[in-house]
Amino acid sequence: MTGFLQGQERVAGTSLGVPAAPKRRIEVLDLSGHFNLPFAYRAYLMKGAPSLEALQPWLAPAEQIEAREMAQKRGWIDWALGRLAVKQAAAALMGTGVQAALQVVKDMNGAPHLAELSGQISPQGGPLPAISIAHAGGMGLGLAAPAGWQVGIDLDLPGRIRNPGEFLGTVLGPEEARALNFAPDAGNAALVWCLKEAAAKALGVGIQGRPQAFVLQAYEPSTGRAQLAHGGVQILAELRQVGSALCALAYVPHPVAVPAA
Amino acid sequence: MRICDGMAKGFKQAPLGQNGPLMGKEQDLTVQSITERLHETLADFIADWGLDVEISPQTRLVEDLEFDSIDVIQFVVAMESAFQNRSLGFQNLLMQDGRYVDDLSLAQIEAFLSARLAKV
Repeated sequence: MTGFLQGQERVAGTSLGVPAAPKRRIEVLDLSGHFNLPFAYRAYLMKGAPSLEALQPWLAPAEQIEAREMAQKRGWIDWALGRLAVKQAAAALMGTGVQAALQVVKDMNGAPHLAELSGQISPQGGPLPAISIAHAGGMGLGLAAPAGWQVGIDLDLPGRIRNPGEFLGTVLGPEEARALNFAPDAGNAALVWCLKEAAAKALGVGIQGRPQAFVLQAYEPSTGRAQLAHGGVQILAELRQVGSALCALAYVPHPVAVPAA
Repeated sequence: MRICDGMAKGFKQAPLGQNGPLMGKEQDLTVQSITERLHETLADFIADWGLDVEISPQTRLVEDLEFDSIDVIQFVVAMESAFQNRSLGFQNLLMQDGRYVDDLSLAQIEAFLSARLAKV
């Protein structure tokens, strides 16, 4: 993993006739094992500034086209890091190093799923891991869990919250706010949003502009564990502080059967 | 960077809403004043984003200004504050025909606000 994208400095150095020392472009944090979940999973947080050229070998052909479009946009680094992180997580969970054979596709709700270029990793067509992606503040986060588990992750920076009191008043329903009794500060605002966003992603629907529909029923600060509900479905979650950011991982407690890819 | 250096604290202090929600304050708003206030609110919201974008009625939040989901909610909060009204029902703008809209143009937001706030 530490070799990620190191090749570009060598290429540049050679073209200039000057041997360039490799320099890391991406910092990788392995968050696997930091959440207490009932299934095996892999999660990576990446921070840095990948170039489009250096990213290409890790992407499937369709993703390379998408990357060229994304590279022109403000969210390029977040996109690139999130994509790299989730492919690394999926490859690690599957025990393969062929990340370019894995393609991240999105369904009609915008939820990411994994697709495999035909037979390049698992000729038998076994089910592919469930995945989730998040990014914030120049960091990308990718999660992979065994097929059948509905999982979601989110990453947020309390510093992004502009008006914590009114923000909480918008994302919490009146009864929910009374029950949680959170102080209206940026830390709690980010905490609530992070848990709700992760829960929405676990259900594959996104928060869809209606955060009050994802009810934070309980949160235990000493363990970071939370319980949420949406439309009669229970979602469990855990929250961790990662540097200055908050990271939430949510899952539906009962896996579903998934047919082979 | 330190990782997992503790749980985020679930602080329990003063409850929300001590100052009371901003509820439907009477204002003499015209379509023009709504448009101007909306543009001012947006300009302030994205002031430090370093975007090279000319704001027009056709400007879209996600495609052109690269809003993510938390930006959308924070912009809703900013608009509620700017118009001193917490009961504008922005969920009706964000959900159309039972589906969450992928994006919103400023013209759509202007029309939504005008329908609710403009003095006829």
